Amino acid sequence: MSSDCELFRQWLPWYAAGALVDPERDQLAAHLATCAACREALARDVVLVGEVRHVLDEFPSPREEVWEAIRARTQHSSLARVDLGSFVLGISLWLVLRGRQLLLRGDLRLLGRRYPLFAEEG
Amino acid sequence: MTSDRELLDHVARGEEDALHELFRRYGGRVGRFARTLTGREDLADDVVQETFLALWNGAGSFAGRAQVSTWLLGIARNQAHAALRKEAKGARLGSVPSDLPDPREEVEHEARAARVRAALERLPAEQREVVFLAFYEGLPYRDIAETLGVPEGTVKSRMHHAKRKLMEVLS
Repeated sequence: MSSDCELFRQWLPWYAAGALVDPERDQLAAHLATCAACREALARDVVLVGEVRHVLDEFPSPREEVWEAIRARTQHSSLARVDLGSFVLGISLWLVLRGRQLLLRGDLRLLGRRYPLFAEEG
Repeated sequence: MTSDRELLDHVARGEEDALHELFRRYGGRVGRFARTLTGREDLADDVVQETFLALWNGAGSFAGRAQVSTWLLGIARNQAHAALRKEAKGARLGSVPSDLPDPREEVEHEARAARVRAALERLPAEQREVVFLAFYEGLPYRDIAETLGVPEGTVKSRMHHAKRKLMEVLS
């Protein structure tokens, strides 16, 4: 393996993952056109990237309960909160401290759907 | 479609719906990164939760140098390391890498996927995160270096060692 190959092989995993950017990408592509050994090494990296992606794709996305827990904690971080009404029609208002600003947030609930109020305030 | 940056501005103003939209867009990626780093689903869920709460509380501090997704992965990384430190202090049992499966008991490609998973879990965390960010997120090594706060040479070196170990197991 030449010293050129040694340099280029550092970039192979990123090239195989589509994550190498110019000018390195162009330089490596030119080298690959002339070096069979590096092309073979690239082929092995491409297989490896595919296998790792396949495994990571199988990790499940967070469950809806995770969002519910986040939501509960963001609302808990409000300074004060008022909920009025029922599932059919209701309104919620809460005070949030953001930096040095005290903000009034709220939403209107209609048949289980939530419509934010004051969305454009800042 | 609302851009990530706009959503972040809304989150900074305390709008929960914007946070939910970012969760829908990136919860899966953050979850997979957390699972890769911690090796456990229960811990990964905790990390996702803490990551989006940190986003809720710190959206106003986004400097805009990186993409929102990359910034979010940086937060997730910090939260994952914090969770692992907490684990190491004995809050829960530590992560134990699973044993290599017996290929006779599995169909071939399932066995191979299990070997890749086990090999990933056996990598040191600092190598695992580089593999995830490069192979799964497709981040250039410069972006990874910035996300991790290490020199580019360190990123390449971690990849070199990680790749060698993965290839050894899989060859």
